[in-house]
Amino acid sequence: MRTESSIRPPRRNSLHRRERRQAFGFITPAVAGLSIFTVMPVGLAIVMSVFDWPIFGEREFIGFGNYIELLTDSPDFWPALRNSVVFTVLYVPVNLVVALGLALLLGPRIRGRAIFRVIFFIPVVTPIVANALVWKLVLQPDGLLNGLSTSWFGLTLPNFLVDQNWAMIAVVAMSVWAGMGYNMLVLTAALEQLPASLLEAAQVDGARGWRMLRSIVVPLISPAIFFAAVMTIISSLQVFAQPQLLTGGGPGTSTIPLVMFIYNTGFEFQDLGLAAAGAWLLFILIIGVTAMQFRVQKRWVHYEH
Amino acid sequence: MQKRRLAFGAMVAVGALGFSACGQDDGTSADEGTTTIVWNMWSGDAESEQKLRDQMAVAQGLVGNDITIELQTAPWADFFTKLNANMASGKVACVTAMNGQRLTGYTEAFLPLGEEELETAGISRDDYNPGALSVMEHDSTLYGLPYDTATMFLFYNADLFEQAGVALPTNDWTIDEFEQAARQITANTGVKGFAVSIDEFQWLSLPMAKSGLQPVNDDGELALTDPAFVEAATWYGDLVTEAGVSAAPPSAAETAWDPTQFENGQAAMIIDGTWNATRYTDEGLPFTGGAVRLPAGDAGAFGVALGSGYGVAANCEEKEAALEVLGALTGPEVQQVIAEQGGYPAQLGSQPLYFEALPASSRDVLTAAFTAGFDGSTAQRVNDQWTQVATAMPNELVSVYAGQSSMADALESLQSRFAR
Repeated sequence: MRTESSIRPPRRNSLHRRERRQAFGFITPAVAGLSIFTVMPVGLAIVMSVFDWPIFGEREFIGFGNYIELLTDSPDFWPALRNSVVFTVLYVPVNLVVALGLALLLGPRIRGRAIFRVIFFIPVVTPIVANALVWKLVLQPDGLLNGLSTSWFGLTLPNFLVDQNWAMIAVVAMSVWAGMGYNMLVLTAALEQLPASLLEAAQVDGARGWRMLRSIVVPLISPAIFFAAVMTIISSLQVFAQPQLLTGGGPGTSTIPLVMFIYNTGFEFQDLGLAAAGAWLLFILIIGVTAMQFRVQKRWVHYEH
Repeated sequence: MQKRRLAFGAMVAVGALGFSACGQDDGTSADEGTTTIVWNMWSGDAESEQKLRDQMAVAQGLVGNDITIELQTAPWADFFTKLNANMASGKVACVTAMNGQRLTGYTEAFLPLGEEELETAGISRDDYNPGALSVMEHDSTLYGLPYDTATMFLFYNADLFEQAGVALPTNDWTIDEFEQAARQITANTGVKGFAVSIDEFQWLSLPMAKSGLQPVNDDGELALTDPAFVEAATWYGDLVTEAGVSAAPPSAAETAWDPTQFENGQAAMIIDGTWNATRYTDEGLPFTGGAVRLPAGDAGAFGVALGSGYGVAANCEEKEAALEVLGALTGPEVQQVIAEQGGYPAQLGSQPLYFEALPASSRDVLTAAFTAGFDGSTAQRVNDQWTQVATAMPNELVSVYAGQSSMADALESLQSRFAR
């Protein structure tokens, strides 16, 4: 007994050490990748944002100068921030409602629902450039929509992509179409996990239709809705490709979102410091909104434990 | 022990992988006695890429086997964004293409070319028209050598003119005659007489010709709100909203809308650069295309000399080899190739070759247009804000063409955003 116990600890230690080394070896690729491609750029972005950092030439420390310039002097920053917020406010609710609607429609009772799910998911996996091209062909004045409207009803539709009132709506509509499939899948998965016993009990109690949806189904899948909402808000604050391809940010500055502003500032106008500061302000906005969502979720998200 | 070595090896390998990503050079490499010089140029399609490869083959023959030229391309719309990214990481290709209007933002990236550098390149200033080198100059320092010389032309669809019973444009045309013709063609054929543009000089040329003014004044300041220029630009916008002789571009993202309209026969006239002269007069088009100089405004004919060239990167490690490649790519042998491919060469001695290479069907028309177009053309003025102004222009213009804002407001907005 005694000898055993005196031998075991060192053995366990050496095993422990060996395992630690192995673990170290295993995580090295991930840690190296994370530091090279995430931590370093993030650190560099912080440094850049407090410098006057042109793409070429002398760099000069200016403290919070870039932030002050963005908030007080830059002609396009506030419109860009406004556009990002407007896009998010329009896009997220519509996306969630459409996705939930589709998930409910393609519920267990529909025949061939797998095919429909694939169809609705196709825009998610299609390259956004191809999506935008097709939408452009549909929306432009000599495009499909206006063509149908003039030939069927004799009604000329507005020029959606250059109209101040319609351009953002066109961008949102295309984004909903392209993005709804993902949330539909998330919510479908949640709907299929619903405990049948609970639904039956509710039916026995006389819950039907709207009442069933509002009081039973939505609360039960609220964690999935919460997840979808958080992810969709984050991605919509980062929107870039849709307006860039569809409207080019026009007319005026009405569809330039914050990320396009950052991209233009850094890579078109060669001011990397200002762009980095813009990126940090966007990051703060996203973190703030996400933190607020987590705080508010306690009131409406129900977790089954 | 073995495992420890393994784990250590794995870490080293991963580390090396990461660092090799940071260790890319600036576009030169010297293995086995040959130096590779990267030539970075814009190119939108397979055809133009092939033209560049043909030019490269000739240049390669000139520089010999000690230097290998490697071509890298990006489409025009992305070229400068990519160049900016390369500059940020210090990887500008040794021989990089530059457009005269964009040069002001990139002077620090290029090696100034003095007499010594020109001698290494084997190029003399006398090979050019006095004004031709100015497109590659900033503050009287030369940063590159032009491979072409360009200005803007009015291109027309002769079939639509005939159909409408309107006399073809001439090199003495005035703005009034242009508008008259556009109206008649629109009325008589149902096809729009003109296609307005949202692209830089494609749209600016007519307002400039009408007002006799440039959007950047003599002092290098943005002058978009000069009353005469605003009036001329308003007239241009009215071609869509009032006269109805042009459709409106469908989106600010469609900078190449007007050429497409013209080539599809949906517009009888457009303004575009001389670099497209052979394309728009090609016999393969479904109509007979022609070109004339820009119509003259009240102040007389007005045109600006544009152009592009190649420079040597300031941080290139193999400057001598890069200068040799630069000399080869802009020298007479490659200029001849460019002329045969339908580009108007920058060097005086090579320019006649352009006309010789033209097909008989368009030779007379283009010879007359080029002779008239470059006569008295002035250098294009730009300033540091120009890239930003040019980037923001399409977004403002689409509102004007849609009738939702006035040209005066659009120009005022650009002026107040970017004049510093």
